[in-house]
Amino acid sequence: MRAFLTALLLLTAGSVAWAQPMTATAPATSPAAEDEPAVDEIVPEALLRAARESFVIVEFWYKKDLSDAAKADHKDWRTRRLYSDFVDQKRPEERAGLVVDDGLVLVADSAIEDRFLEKIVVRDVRGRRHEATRERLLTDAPGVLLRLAPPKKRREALHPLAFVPVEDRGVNTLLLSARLFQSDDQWRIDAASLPAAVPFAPGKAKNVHFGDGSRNDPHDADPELIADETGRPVGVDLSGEFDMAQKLCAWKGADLLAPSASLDWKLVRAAEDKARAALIDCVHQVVFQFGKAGHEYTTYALAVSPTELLIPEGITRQSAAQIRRIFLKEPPAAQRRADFVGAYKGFDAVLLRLREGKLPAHVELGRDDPQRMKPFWAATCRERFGRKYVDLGTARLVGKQRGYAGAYSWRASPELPSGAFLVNFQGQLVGLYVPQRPEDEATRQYLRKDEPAQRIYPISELRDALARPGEHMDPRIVVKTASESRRRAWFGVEYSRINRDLAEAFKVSKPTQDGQVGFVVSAVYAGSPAEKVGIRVGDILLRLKSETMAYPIELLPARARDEEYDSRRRSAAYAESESEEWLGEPEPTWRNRKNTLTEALDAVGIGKEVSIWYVRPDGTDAAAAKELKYRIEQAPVDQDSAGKWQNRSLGLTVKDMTYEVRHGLNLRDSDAGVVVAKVEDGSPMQVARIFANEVLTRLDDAPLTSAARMRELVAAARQAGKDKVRLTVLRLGKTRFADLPVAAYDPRDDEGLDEGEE
Amino acid sequence: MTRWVARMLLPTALLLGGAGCAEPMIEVAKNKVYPALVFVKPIRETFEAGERQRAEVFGSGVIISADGLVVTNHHVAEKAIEVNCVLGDREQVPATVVGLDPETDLALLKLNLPPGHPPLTVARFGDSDAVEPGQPVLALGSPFGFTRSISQGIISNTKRYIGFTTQYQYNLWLQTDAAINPGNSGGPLVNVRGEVIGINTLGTWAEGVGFAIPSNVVRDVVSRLLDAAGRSGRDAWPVKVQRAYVGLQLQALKDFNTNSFTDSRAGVLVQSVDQDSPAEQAGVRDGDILLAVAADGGPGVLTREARVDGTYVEDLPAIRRMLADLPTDRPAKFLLARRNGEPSDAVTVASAELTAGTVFPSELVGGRRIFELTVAPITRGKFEGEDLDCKRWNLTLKEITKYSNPRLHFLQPGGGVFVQGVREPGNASFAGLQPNDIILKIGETPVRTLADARKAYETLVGNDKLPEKKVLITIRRGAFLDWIMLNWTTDYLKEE
Repeated sequence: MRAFLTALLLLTAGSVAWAQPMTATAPATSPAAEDEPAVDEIVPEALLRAARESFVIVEFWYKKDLSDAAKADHKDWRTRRLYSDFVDQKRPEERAGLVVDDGLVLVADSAIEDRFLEKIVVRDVRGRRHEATRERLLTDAPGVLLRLAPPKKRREALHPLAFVPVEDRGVNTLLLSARLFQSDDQWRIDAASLPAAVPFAPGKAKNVHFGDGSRNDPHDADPELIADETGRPVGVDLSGEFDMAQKLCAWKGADLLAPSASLDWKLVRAAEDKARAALIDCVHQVVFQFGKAGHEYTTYALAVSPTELLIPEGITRQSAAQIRRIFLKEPPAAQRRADFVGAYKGFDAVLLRLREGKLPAHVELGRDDPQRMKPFWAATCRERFGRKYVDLGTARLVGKQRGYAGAYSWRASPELPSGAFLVNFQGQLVGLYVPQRPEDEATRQYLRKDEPAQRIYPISELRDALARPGEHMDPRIVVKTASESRRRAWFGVEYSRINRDLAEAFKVSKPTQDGQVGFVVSAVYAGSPAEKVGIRVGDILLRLKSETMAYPIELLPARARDEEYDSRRRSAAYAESESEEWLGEPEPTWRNRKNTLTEALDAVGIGKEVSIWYVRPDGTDAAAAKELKYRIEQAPVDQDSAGKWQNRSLGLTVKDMTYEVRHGLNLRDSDAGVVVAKVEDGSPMQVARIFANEVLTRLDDAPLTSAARMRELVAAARQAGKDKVRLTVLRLGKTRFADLPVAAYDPRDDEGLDEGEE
Repeated sequence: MTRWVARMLLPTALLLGGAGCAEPMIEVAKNKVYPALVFVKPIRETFEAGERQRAEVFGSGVIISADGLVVTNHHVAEKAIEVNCVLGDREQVPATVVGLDPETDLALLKLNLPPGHPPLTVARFGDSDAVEPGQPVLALGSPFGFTRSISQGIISNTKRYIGFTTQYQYNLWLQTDAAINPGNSGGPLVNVRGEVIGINTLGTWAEGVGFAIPSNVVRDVVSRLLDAAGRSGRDAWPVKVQRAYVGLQLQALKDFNTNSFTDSRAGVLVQSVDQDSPAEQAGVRDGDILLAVAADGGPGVLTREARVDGTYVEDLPAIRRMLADLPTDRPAKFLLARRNGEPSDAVTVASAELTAGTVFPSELVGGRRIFELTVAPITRGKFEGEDLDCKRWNLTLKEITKYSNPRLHFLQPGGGVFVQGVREPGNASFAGLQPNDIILKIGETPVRTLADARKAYETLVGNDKLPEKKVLITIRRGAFLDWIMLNWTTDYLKEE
C-alpha cells in the first residue's frame, strides 16, 4: 500500500502559519497499517522546516530585446510567450527555487537567453527580495545555479540546505519530497513520500528508481527537495524521476554542488558566441526555383561536408519534380549552383551538393549522441540585420517517447523548434529535430491525416545517412523534366460518382455503404491496367490500399465533387454550342486526367502494388466487393504532360494528341493530329479562326503527328520562303481548312515544354 | 421565336422614287401589296424547356393566289395545331399548313375561305436577282402583333452570306435597314413598283440590320411545295421539299473570314465529307476541289453548265442547291481535283478526265490531278427529329438527326434520342438530366428511337402498381456514360 500524504505550508509575505498535516491517508483500520510507520513519523517536522526556510520564489523579469530586428512572426513560440505573458503583462515569471549553498539558489533551467532578461529577483519566505544572477549551468540535471547579491545585513542571509548523504537500502529506501507550488494566490508546500520502484526487467534490480509522476507537464523542472525518511535533505530533483545510481540525472546534493557538475555561465555564453560565429559560416541561404514560371523558395542549409548541404525540411514529390534551379545566395551576388541529391525517406530533410568548388566551412559531426540531461544547443537559422544568423537555444534530453512503428526516441526540454540542428557545446552537429516520414507518407498527406510527429534524430542515426545518402533517399522524390513531372499514375478508367439512388438501383447498397463510397466506371481506356485486369464499364471501384498503408483510400464521391461540377459545366456548354451556328471555342469532349483516382494512385506511387476493391453489380443483392491487385503503372502521356509547342508570334500552343483526346473524339491510334491548347488574341491563329480544343490534322499535305513535327514543318515552310501553310482543322468529326501565315513565325519565340533543368 | 439572329416577319416597305418623294412609292405599295398582307396567328405546340407548351404566336404572311395560298416563314407556321389569319379587310379566316421547308424557313398556308368568297388580292413577286443595293424598300407586317405596320428603308446588301451550316444554307439574303422586329416574320419586303422581292425572316439585336429571303428562292420553294402538295393528297399535308444528300461541306476558295485562300481558280473546296455519306463511299476526300457536278446522263455530261464556282462564300448556297437538286434515282458524276500523290485510295479516273482536262487545264487547279467519281445521292432525311413530351418527368426528348444535331450525331453515330429540354423545377432537372444528354437506356430498355423512349415512358408512368416511381436512366454526356436515377413521385405540374 502506498503511503501518501500532504502537508501544507502557507507562505505569505506577512504571516506564516502552519497548517495541520493532512490526514487523508490510509485509514487506521487498514490491515497493512500495522506494518507501516505512522503518519507523523513519515513527515517529520524537520523536512517541512527545512523546506520553509530553503524554498524561495524566483522572479524572472523579462524585457524586449531591442537589438533584435526579427519580425514577430519570425520569433519562436518561446519568445512570443515571454512577450505576451510577461513583458506585456508587466509581471515576472515566477518559479520555485531552492537555496542549496551560501548565496546559491538552484532553479530550473528555463533556457531563456540573456538578451531577454532584465533582472532576477529571489523572494524568500519572509518576503525579502534579493537580486540574483545566473552563475552556473548544471550539466547532469536541468538546472541553473543563481548567485545572490550579498545581503546588506547578515541576518538577512538565506539558510542553505544542509545535505546529508543518502543511504542506499535498495527497495527499502524511502525518500520524501517537498515542493513549492502555486495555487490561486497562495504558494504552498506539499510533501509526499516517494516509494521505490524497480525496473520490469530480468536480473537483479539494484538501481532503484523514484518518481511519483506528480509532474504533469514534462517541461516543469521546478526543483523538489528530496529528503530521507527522517526528513534530512539529501538532494534536489529537477526532472520528476530519478534513480539511486544517478543514471537518469544528478540529484544528490553533494553531486549537484560539485564544481565538475556545472559550467560557468559566462564561459557557456562565450562558447555559445563562438559556436554561433562558426555555424553562421557553415549556413547558407539557398534558393530553389520551381517550374517554368520560376517560383522561388528561399531557405537555409547547413554545410555538412565541403560540398554537401543539409536542409532540415521535407519536400513533396510534386515540388521536387519541378525544381529547375538551386543556388546559394551568397553576398556578393556570386551565385553558386547546387544539385538536388535527394530527400531522405526516413525523415524530412533534403541534401544538396555543390556543383563546383568547395564550401568555405562545414560543421563537424559530433562523435557521440547527446546524452540525457546534458545541455546542447538547438540551432535554427534566420535573417538578422540583413545577414544570416543562427539562434542557439539550450535544451536537454529529458525522456523518451514512442513514435512511428513503436520506436522510442528522445524527448527534449524545452521543446525544440522544428527543423533545429542539435549542436553540442563544442559546436559539433549531434542531431536533427524534424518530422518523421512513415513509409506511406505520400498517401498520408493525400488523406490529410494528422501532422507527422517530429522527433530527434541523434548523430548516430544521421551519420550513415550523410555518408551514404544514396541508400537513404526516397527514390520517388526526384527532379524531373517539366513534362515528366506532369506524368501521372493511372488505372485507366473514367468514372461517375455513385449516390444512394444509384446504389439502390445497382443493388450495391451494402458494398457501397449506401452509396457513400464508390466510383462507377464509365469508360475503360484501351490498353490500360484496368482493361487488362478485366474491369468493365459499370463496375464500381470502392477503395484501394497498398501493403504499407495503415488505412485504405476510400473512393468517396464527396471528394470528387469538383470533377462533377466540371462535367456539368461542360454539358451546359454543349447545350449552347448545339444551337450555335457560329464557330467558337468548343468544349473538350475528353476529360482532364487529373482526378481523385489518379491522384490517389499518384500518392501511393508508381511501381507499388495496390489492392483495389470493386463490386460488379449482377442484379442481385448478393453482389459483393472483390479484390484485385495490380502494380501501379505510369499513365501514357496525357494532355497535361503532352509534348508542346508554343510560339508567341503565331499565337499558338499545340500539344501532341494523347490517348484521352483520342477516346473523346473517337480517333484511332493511327490518326494524326495535334490539339490546339491555346490561341492568343489578335494572333495569326485567331485571324485564321482556329480555336482551342480543335485538332489540327494536316499541315499542307503532311500529317501532323506531333507538336514537334508541326514546328519542323512550319520552320521548313518558312525556310522555303512560303508565306502561309494550310491547316486541316478537325472539330467534332468535321474538317475545314485554314491558312496560317508563317511569315510572322519567329523561331526565337518558340517555347516547348521540355526545356528541363538547366 | 427568335434565335441568335432573331427571326422576324417583315412588313413590306415601299419607297417611291428618290429622297423627298416617298409618298407616291408608299401609295403604290399600299395599293398593290397591302391588301395581300395577312396577320398570321398560329396556335403552336412546342416542346421546350422540358414540357409541351401551347401558345399563340404572331407572324405575317402574304397572299400569292386568289384562292388563298399564303406564304409565311417556317418558324411562324411550324408545329401549328391551328392557324388563324386576319386579312386586310379584318376578316379572320382559318388556314391549313400546306407545306413546310425548315431549311429555307418558308411555309405555305391555304386559307379555308367560305364558299363563294370573292377572289383575294394577290401580291406580285418581283425578280430578286434584279434588286440593287440602295433601292428603297418597305417592310410590311405585324411587329409585336401590331398589325398592318409598314416600315421603310433601303436594301443594304443583296447577297448577304450569313454562314449558317445546319439550316438556311441554300440561299443568300437580302439585307435591309427597314425596321424588322418579332412579328414581322413571314411578311413581304416590297420594292418601289409594289412587287414582293423578299420574305422578311431574320432580325438582329442591332437596329437597321434585318434579312429577307429573296423572292426567287421563295418562288422556287413555293412551286416545289405546291408540286408536292398537288401530288399527295390533302391528308399528307404539310408536305416537304425533297432534296438530295451527298454529304459534302464546302468552303470558298477565297475565304476572307479565315483569310484562307486555296490555290485553285476553279471549283469549290471540299471542307469536310460526312461519315458514311454517299460522297465518302464514292471516295471524295476533304481537301478535294469539286469542279463540276452533273446527273449521270451519259458521256459528256460534265459540260460547262455543270461547273461549280465557289470562289467566294456568296457562291456556296448555289452550289449546295445544285447538289441538293441532284436526282436520287441515278448516280451523278463529280469532277474533282486532288493533289498528286495525296489519294492513296483507288480513285476512279474516268475518260472524262481527258475531256474535262481540256475544260480545266491543270494550272487552273493549282497543278492538281483531275479525276471523276460517281456518286449516288440519296434523299435527304427529315431535317428535324420528332419530339416526345414526358410530362410526368418534366422532360422533352427529341430524335437526333445529322442535319440539325450534327454534334450529337457525332457523339452518338447512328443517332438516337436526346434531352431536348428539362422543366425547372421538375423531376428530370432534379435528378440531374440536362439538355443534350443522350438517352441510352430507360431502366433495362435500350433506347434507339423515339418510339422506344415513348414505349418505356408510357409503360412506366402508366403502371400504377410500381412500388416506387423511379427509374435508372443511362445516358451519354459528352463522350462518357453516366447514370441518373429519375424519381417522379412529385407531380410538379400540380404544384401551382
